[in-house]
Amino acid sequence: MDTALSVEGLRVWRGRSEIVRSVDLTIPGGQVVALLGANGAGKTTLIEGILGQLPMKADTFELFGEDVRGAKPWEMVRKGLVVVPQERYLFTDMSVEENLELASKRAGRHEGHLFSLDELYDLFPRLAERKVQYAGTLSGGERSMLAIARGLALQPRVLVLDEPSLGLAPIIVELIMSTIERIAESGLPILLVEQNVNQTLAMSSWGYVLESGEISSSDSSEALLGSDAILSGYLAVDVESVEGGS
Amino acid sequence: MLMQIIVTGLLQGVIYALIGLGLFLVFNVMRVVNFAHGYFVLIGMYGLLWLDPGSLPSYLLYALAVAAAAVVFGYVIERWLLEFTLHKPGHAQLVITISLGIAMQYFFQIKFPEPYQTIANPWPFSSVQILGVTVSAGRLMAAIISLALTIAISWVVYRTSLGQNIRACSQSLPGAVHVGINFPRVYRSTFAFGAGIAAVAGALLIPFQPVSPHYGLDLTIKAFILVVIGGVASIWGTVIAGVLLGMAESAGSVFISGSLTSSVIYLMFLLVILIRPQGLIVRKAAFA
Repeated sequence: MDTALSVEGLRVWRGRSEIVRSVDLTIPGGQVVALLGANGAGKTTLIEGILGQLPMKADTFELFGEDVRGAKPWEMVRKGLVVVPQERYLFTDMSVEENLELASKRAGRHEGHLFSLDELYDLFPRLAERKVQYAGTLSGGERSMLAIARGLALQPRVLVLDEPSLGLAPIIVELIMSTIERIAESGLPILLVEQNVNQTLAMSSWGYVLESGEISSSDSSEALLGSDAILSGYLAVDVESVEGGS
Repeated sequence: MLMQIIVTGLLQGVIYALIGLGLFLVFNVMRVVNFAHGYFVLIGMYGLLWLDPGSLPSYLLYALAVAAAAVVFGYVIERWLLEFTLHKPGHAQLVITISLGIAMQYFFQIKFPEPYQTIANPWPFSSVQILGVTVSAGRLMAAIISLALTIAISWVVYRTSLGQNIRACSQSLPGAVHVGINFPRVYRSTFAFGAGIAAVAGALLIPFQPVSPHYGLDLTIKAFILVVIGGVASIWGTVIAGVLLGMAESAGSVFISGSLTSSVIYLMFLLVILIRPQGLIVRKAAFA
C-alpha cells in the first residue's frame, strides 16, 4: 500500500510565530489517521501549512511520492489533497447544487474511486432535499455535510477533515461520523482532526497527538485509546463532555 | 424639457453604469477600491485623442487597441504594484491606487496640456431624434454599446465557469482556496478586465465628452457613488444607480447652473446614505 502523504520536520508559521515545530506525520494509503489535540495545539495551523496557505518548511513533504514542498494551495488541490476546513467556507450565495457543481468542475482525474454527484446525494440525503437552497441558509449540520460533500466532489486522493462535528448536536455528530466511515470504506485515505476522541480513535488505525505544535504521541489507535496521552488532564475534559453522547 | 432630462440622463446613466461596473467587479472580487479607476477611463479617452481616428473602422480598431493597452496596464499594476499588499494589515492598496490616480493625472496633464478636447464624430450619422429630443450620435452609440457590454458582462459572471470563479472568490476567498481556485489569477484577470472596460467606456465617451485630466477624478467619484448606491452586491443595482445618477446630473444641469451641478450628485449620494445606507438592491451577504 502506498503512502498518501508524508511529511518530516514540518514547521508552520503564523506571521512571525512558529506554531508547528518539527512534526513528522504520515497518512498511509487506504487508512484513516486521527490528529488529536486540545484547542490551540496547532492542528488547524498544521493543516493550513500542509495545504500551502501558511508559510511552512519541511525536510521532506511528499504526496503520493511526489515532492510537493512549496506547492501553492490550488496546486495541492489539483494534485488530490483536499481539506475540508473547520470554518467550512461555503459559497453562501450559491445553492447546494452549485457549490457541488463548482467543485466537481475543478476536480482532477485519477484512478481510484470517483464520487459522482448522485453518490454524494446518496451519502448525504439531507443535501439532496435542499439542492436549490442557498448554502448560507443551511443549518450547522447541513453545512458540515455540504463542506464534506464539496470536498469529495473535488475527487480527492487524500482527504483532510478539520473537526467535521464541531458545534453539532450528538445525533448529527453520529450521522456525520458514520458517513465518514462509509467514505473511508471506499479506500480514500483520510486525516481526521477531531476533539471527539473516542469516536475518532475507534474509526482510525493510527493517531497523532499534537501538543503546543509538537507531536507528543504517535501510536496505533488501539494503543492510544488506553494510554496516558488521552487520559491526561487537557484531553480528559473533552472525553468527559462527549462521554454522555457517545 | 422633462424628456430632455430623461433621455439624456438615461443614456448618460447607462454609460456611467459601465464605468461603475469595472469598479464593482474589482471591489467584489478583491475587496480593493481602485481610486484610479476614473483615470483608466482616461486611458481610453486620451488614447483615442492621440491616435486620432479619421474613419469609423479606424475608430473601432483604435478603441480595441486602447482597451488592450489598458488590459495590459491593469495586469501589470495588479501583479507588481498591488498584489503583494493584499491580505496584509494596513491600507497599502488605498495609498497605491490613490497615488496611481494622481500620477496618471499628472501624466495626462503633461502630455495633453490643452483642456476639454474631443475627437470628431466617427459615426455615420450626426444626430437622432428620440421622443422629441435631439441626441448626438456619439452619446447614443456609447449608450447602446455600454448596455450591450453590461449585459455581456452579466452573462459571463452568471453563466460561465470564469464567472463562477469570480463569484466564488467574492463570496468566500478561503472557500475558493479550498476548492483549488488560483485566486491570484482571478485577481489579475478581474483587475485587467476592469481596466479594459474603463478604457472602452472612455473610447465611447471621447466623441462627445470633452476630456481634461481632472475628469478622471470626477469619474472615479461617480463610479464610487454609483457602486455604493447600487448596493455593492448586485450588477443590476449598479445599472439602476447609474441611470439615477445620469438623470440627477442632467436634471441638475438644467435647473442649476455651472459648477453646482455636481452638487446634485453628492446630494443624492448623501440622501441614499441617510435613508437607505445598504444601497438600493441588497442581497443576503455578498455578490452572488
